[in-house]
Amino acid sequence: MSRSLENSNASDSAVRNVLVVQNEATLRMGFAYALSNPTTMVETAASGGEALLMMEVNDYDIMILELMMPGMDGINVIETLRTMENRIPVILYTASQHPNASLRAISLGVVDFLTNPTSPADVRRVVDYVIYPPPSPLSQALHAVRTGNMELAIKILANHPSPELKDRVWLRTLKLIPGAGFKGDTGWLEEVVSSDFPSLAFNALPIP
Amino acid sequence: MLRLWLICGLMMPVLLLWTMGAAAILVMRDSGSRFEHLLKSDSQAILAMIGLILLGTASSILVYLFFARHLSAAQPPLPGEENEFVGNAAANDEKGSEVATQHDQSAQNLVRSNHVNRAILEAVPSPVFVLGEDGGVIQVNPAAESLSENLGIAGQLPLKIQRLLDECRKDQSNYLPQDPRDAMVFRINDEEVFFLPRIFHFESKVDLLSGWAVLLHNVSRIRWLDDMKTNHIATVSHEIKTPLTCIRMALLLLLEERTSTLDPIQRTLVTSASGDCERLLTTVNSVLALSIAESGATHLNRVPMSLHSSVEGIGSQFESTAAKRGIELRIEGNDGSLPKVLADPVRLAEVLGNLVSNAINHSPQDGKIILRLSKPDGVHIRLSVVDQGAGVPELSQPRIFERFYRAPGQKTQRLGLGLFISRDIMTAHEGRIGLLERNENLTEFFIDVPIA
Repeated sequence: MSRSLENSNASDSAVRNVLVVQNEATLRMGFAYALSNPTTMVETAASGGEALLMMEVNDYDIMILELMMPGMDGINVIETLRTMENRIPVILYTASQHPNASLRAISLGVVDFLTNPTSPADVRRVVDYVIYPPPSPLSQALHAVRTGNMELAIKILANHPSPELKDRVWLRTLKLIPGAGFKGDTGWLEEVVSSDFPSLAFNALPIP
Repeated sequence: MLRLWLICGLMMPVLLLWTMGAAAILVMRDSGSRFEHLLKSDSQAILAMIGLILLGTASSILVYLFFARHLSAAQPPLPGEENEFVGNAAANDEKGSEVATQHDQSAQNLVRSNHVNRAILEAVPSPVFVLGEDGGVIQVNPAAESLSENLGIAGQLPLKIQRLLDECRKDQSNYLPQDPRDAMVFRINDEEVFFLPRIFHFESKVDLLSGWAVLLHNVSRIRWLDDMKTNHIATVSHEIKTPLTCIRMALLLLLEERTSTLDPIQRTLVTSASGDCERLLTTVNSVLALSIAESGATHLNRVPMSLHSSVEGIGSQFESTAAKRGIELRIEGNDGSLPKVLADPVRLAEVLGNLVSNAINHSPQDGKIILRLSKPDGVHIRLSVVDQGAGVPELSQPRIFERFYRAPGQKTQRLGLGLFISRDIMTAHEGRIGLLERNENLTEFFIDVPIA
C-alpha cells in the first residue's frame, strides 16, 4: 500500500492514524471497529474539546468529525484547527442536511460529507477516498480544496471534458464560495447548496 | 250626457202628440166637418187641446221614468249616488288600505332585514367580499376592508384569491376546502396570517339576483397548533433516529464478521434485526420528511428561478436509475424560452424528484418517461411527467394526494407520503399539482408553478 497523501501531518510509518470524534458512544465504537485494521490505528474522542486536546499531543492523518455535538460543534472544531494552521483532512458526519454548516465547512476546506445513515463499508471507503484520492477530475479537485487551493480545484473541474451532474454541482458551488471570487449577498447561496447537498455528499458518489 | 239625450228623445213623441192633437181639433172645427157638432164652441176646443197637452206630458213622464229605472242598473255609477258598485268600492277601499298597510309593513320589514343583514355582514369577523356575476366587487365588510387596506389594495380581492375566484367562475363551481393546509398565507404587519378561502355562488330567486361571495376564514391558530404538532413529531423522530442509526451500525458490523464468525442462528437473528432496523428507519425518515415538508411548506424561500435548469438537473439525477431498467428519460419543450418562476428551489426539487421516481417505479421495462415544459395559462409554467405505466386506478385517483394513502396492491414499502408532501409544497407555492385524464395509455402528472 503506497502513500499518496502529500500534506500529511502524520509520521512516515505505513500505519494511518484516524481520529473519530463522536458524542454517540455506539457510533464512536462502531466507527473505530469498522476502520481498525493492521494498517489503521483509530483513536476516539467524545467531544470537540477532547479532540482538540488530543490533536495537541498526537498527529493524525484524518479526522471523522460529528457535526452536531453538544458544546463545541463540528464547525467550531474545524475553525479552531484552521486558526492553528492545521489543515488535517476532515470527514464531516452529519445526521441530516445542514446547508449553512456545509457551506461554512467547504469554505474551510472540508469537502467530504458522510450523511446519516451510513454503513461500515461507507466509512472505510470515504477514508480511503480522502487519503488516496483516485485520479478522477472531481477527486483531484476535491483534494485541491482540502489543501487550500480553491483556484486549482475550479480549474480542474472547469476543464473536465465530460462533466456529470456531481462535477457540475461542485464547480457551481466552489465558484460561489466567498473567497473564490464571489462577492455580494450570499443569502440565496444557501438555497443552492441546500438543493445540491445530496450531490455534494460522499454517499452520493458512485461506488468505485 | 246620456240623460240629456234621453230627455230630448222623449220630448219628440210629446211634441208630435201635441201637434197632431192641435191639427185634429182645427180640422174638426172646420165648417162642414162630420165632427163639427162635437166641438161647437171655442172653449170646448181649448179644453180639448189642454187635455191633449196634459195627456202627452203625462205619458212622456211615465215613459221616462220607466226607461230611467232600467238604464240606471246598467249605467256607471255617479258620485254620491247610492248603488251596488259604490258598496263594492267601499269594501275594496278597505281591502286596499289594508294592502297598503301591509305594503308599508313589508317595506319596513325589508328595510329592517336589510339592516340586519348588513349588520351581520359587518359584524362577521372574517373578511367577506360580495361580488357580482361579472366578478366586480359589490360589497365588502369592515374586516375585508381592513385586510385589503393592509395589503395595499383597498377594496379589492387579493390577487391569489382573485385567481381562485376566476377558476370558480369558469367552472361554475364553489371552492370550499376543508383542510387548513389549503390556507393561503398573507403578510400583515410583519405577521403571517393564514386564511382558508371559501368561495361560493349565491342566488336570490325573488329578485333574480346572483353573484359570488368570498369569505376568508382565519386559520392561523389551527396552523400554529399544527406546526407545534409537526415540530414535536420532528423532535421525537430525531430522538428516535439517532439511537436507531447506532443500532443499525452495530448490526451491520456484526454481519460483516470481520473478526469472528456468527453461527447460523446468530446470523439469522442479526439479519432479521437488521431488516427490522431498516424498516423502522424508513418509517422514521418518512415521518421526518413529512414534518420537514409541513414546517418547511409554510416557510418557503421563494426566488425567481428557471424551470429549465431544474428539469435538466432532475433528468441527470435520475438518468442512471432509469437506465438500469432500460427506461429512456426525454425532455421536451426545454428551449429556454419560458419565463422564470417564483419558487423555492429545494422544495421544488423534492416535488420533481418524487414525481420522476414515481414514474420510474411505475414504468414498464424499456419504457419512456417524458419531462415536458409548457405554459398552460398566463400565470403558470407547467412541468409534466408522463409515463407509460398502468396509470392510477380510477378508485384511487381522488385519494392519491392524501396523507399516507397507498393505492391497493402496491408492492413497495413506501409510506405513501410523497404525493401528499408534494401537494403541500405546491399549495404553499400557490401552485397546483394534479393528474391529467389518461390519454393514449399515458399517465401524466403535472405541477403548475407561478411565474415570477
